[in-house]
Amino acid sequence: MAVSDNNLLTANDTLAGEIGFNNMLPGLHELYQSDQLAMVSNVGNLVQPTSKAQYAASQALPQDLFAHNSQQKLWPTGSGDLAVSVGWGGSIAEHIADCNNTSNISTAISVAGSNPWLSNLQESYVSLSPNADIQRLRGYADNSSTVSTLEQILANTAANSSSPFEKEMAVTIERSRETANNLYAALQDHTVDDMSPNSGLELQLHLVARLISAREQLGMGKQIFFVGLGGWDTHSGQNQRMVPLLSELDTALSSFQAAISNMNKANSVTTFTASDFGRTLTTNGDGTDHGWGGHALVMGGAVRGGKVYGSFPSFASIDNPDDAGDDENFAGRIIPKISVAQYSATLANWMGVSSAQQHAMLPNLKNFSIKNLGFMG
Amino acid sequence: MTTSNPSPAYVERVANAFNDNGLGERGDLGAVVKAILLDPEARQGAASNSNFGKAKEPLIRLSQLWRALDATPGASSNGVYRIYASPPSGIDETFGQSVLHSPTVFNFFLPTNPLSASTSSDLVSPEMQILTEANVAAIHNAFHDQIYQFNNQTTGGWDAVTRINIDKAVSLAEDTDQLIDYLDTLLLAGGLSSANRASIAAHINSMPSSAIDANKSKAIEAIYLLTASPEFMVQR
Repeated sequence: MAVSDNNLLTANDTLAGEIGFNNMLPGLHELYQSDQLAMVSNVGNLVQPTSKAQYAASQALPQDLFAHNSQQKLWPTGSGDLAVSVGWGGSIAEHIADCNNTSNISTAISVAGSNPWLSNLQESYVSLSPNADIQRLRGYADNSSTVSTLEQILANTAANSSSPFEKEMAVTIERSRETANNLYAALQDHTVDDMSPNSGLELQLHLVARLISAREQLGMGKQIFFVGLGGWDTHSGQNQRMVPLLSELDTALSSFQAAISNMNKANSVTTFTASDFGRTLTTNGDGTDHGWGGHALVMGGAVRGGKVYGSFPSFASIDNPDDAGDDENFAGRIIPKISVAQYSATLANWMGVSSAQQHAMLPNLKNFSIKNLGFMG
Repeated sequence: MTTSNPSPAYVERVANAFNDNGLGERGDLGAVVKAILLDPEARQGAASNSNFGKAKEPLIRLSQLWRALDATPGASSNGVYRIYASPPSGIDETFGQSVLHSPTVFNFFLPTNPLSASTSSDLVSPEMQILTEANVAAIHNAFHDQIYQFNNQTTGGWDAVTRINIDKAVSLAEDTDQLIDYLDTLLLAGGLSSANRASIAAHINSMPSSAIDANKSKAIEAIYLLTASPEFMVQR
């Protein structure tokens, strides 16, 4: 699974020395060279700092490690406990919502569907589709008896139904109508034509760029967005599958950053990656398995880029102190040295969330001595 | 199949049916399905438990409308019941799902999806995970098009759209109560609330009976309003 030197774009880090970007990532390489991209090395779900011996003794580990569904829930909550259902993105939204008091749009918007990262008790988030312009309900502008009857039905059900399902359905429809009407006009005025999306992720980021461009028109002070790109579970054909995946990632992130720069908002927008886990260092010959720690990328004008935060783990296949296995059975799963709690606290801090609030929303943060990884300026 | 939040006792009864179908056999799925559908908790439904029920998947709502109203394929569709989405959306963006196209091995939605994004209740509603602000409008508009437009399409590729048969509704339209009763029973399993029934009846009654195609217009309005109601979207 190793990539040969001549397929790498070289860069430098003062501590790690020479590093290489996959050559399918020219845009991200360029952003790193211009200090607008940082890499956070070996980050993953952790309850507390965990050594190889502690892992072997199953001390205070996140639940259900190495399974997609559980880890896709623990990264968004920054917890080791699957029962926690409030996402740290949702918590940030709650704390910054007073910046958006004049707006009819929720602080947090997902462009990739429902997700636990934005779940929160106080603030609901809005889910939009990137592939379509915002549709408004047919007949929305008619002053007709049909429309007012529908409005009565929805209002009555939302207020009086004995079924929580019917109530929630009514509330969702009412909220959707309001969102659609509010967003439609703003999006018509902000087309961000310097992006010409060719892929799923780029379409999502294009909508995000338009919503950022329309920020003042929407009355938004601070915004949070969720986008997603799947397909990384490369148990087979990894080298072949990485080609379109990395290309899509690179083009989407680079063109997004360029569009944001053109709006003079480069210092106001930070983009970061999250993933259920990294991949194993072991291979079945054609692909890799579910790992644990992995690298994350943080991009933006306010990022102290051109650096690697954290350190690379050992890649030894024998006697590896960072491997979640024993010496006879090398697992190839690298134990993270940086936790999601620290990663998210650093981002929350940049968004203006106080230290006390960070600790409240990330209970595991107290187990780590470094609360701010320093990648934000 | 019946409810998103079955009681532990209900789940246990179904598990027992799997372990022993009454004839000492284990793993009889027919017995399991029977146990799910005929369990007293399912039969009593909302009557004994206001949390009973589940959200219908968007494509289930559409196929229910088609089945209930004897849908027929469009003339140029080669016998295929086509689902349409307004460009530039695809079916997935419009309905939140398309047939046999779940995005991962974990189905279109996860079993743990909370009913409400503000997580103060323990109730789950997996199907609501794919009902986003974006596709709520798109699904509404797809139903609107199906009910108001598709039966009239004869040209330009739109003649391939699936049509619904509203003859029975039209024949009842002179009597508003009969029209609503029929559609309520057929599409909402009688779940229309009395307040919503009154709103819909008032609107239908306000439509002029002397207009050309008055009965057809009334039938279409009733089908639209009933399928746009939350009571249609939730199975109880």
